[in-house]
Amino acid sequence: MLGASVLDDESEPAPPPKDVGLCRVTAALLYNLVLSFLQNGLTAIIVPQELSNFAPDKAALFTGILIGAGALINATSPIVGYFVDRAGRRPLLMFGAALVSGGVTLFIIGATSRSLPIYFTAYLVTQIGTVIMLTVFNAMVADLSASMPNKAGRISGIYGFYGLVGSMFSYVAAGILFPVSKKNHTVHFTISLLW
Amino acid sequence: MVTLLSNVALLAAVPPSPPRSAEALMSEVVEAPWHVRVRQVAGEWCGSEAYHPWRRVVLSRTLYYFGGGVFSGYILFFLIDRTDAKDPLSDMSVLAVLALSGSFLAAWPAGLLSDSFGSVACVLVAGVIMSAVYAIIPTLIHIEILFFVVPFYGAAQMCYNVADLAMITAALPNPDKRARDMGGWAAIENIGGALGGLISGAVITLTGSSDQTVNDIRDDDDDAGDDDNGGDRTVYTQVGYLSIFWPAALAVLVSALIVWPLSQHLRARTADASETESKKAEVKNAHDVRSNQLLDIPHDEF
Repeated sequence: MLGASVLDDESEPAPPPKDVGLCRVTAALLYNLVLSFLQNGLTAIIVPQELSNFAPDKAALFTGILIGAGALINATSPIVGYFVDRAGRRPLLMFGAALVSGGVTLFIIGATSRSLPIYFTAYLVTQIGTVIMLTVFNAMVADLSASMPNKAGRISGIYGFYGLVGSMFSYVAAGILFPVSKKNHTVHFTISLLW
Repeated sequence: MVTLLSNVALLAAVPPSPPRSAEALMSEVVEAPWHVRVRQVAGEWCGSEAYHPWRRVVLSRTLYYFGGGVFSGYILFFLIDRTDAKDPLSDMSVLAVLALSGSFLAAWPAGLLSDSFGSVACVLVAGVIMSAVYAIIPTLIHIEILFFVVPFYGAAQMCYNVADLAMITAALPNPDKRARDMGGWAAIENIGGALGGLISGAVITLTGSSDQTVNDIRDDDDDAGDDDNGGDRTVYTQVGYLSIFWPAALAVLVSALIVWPLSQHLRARTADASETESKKAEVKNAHDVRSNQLLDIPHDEF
């Protein structure tokens, strides 16, 4: 009886709804900093410059091929998103992280052995991993925004802020701290340091 | 080590996915041919009424990146051809740093503004500012004015990006297909930028080619011959730059205006979502309180 009366008691005020803090969002999206660093610094600045060191005669052609391949891979993000919806965020995130890590390792091997095929493979693997991770991140932002609709702008702001900081770091690292040149072949050291 | 620590932190922060075997996933994938799925997705994206806000946001983003493609593709040529910049390459770096600084300072306030006044309003204001910048660029001669304007451009760009992301998250119609729909939204970035670069390249060649030529590559080495500095390119006229930057300005302005009708719709959807989340939390809390009360009852009273 007492149990039933407790269950039926509507006069007991419920505590205010718990709000998911932005700290968790910040932690989850911090990885975007690392990813932006990699995307902007490595694949947009260092790789084209390294290609001109590897193959001076065909650097423009190879850069064009890589940029085209990167754009094609980026265009597959709806397909990646389909799998992210089906398989869940976490498995695809781990898969993407594994690909990115593998790609970076291949970059180091390709740069030290000065092997163009390995370098190409490294670029493609890193791009695929990055697209998978970015798609998961976008889905995560949508999930978080859906659970906190009144803070969607701030979540987007945090996400954009981290991306920007990562990009700025990458430009400083690739342009000032570890510039690529014929004499100073530092790409593998840069990557090793960053990752 | 950084990767490892970041992965651990991230996996701790991401909620676990519902268990799903690889076999089940693959059976879903192979049960319908890919072209059927593509047609299904295209039908949803292009025809479904529920996807109307999503379509508008994606179209807006395409136009926005069209303008961005023109700006990023031709601003350096413009500095060399039309302004009084002594060292265009260095000035370009300064412009990039100033724009990034503006974006950096605007990132957090942009999120707050988007939450306070609505993402559509932020997109509109940012779009108008960027459109104004694109419109005045081809009329400039003194680079100092560009130095003054570019931080505002960077801030507006960040405001647009932040509000655009907030807007698309509110415009997603189906919670089970969020990643796929966000993927479609993200892929548009490349298409808009590529279209902007391609079309403006053809337009400026047709409308702005002159008899003069210029070499864009800086020659720091006095010993190097001119042959090492690559080929010369045509200098483009002001008419040429007007013919690409003004359409870019129009594209960005239209991109901001076409989402304006969504303002009420997205606000209502956000309010509904907030209410739903509050109710869910209330129910959960009430359930927790009652569970705790039940646990406090002595056994002999049952």
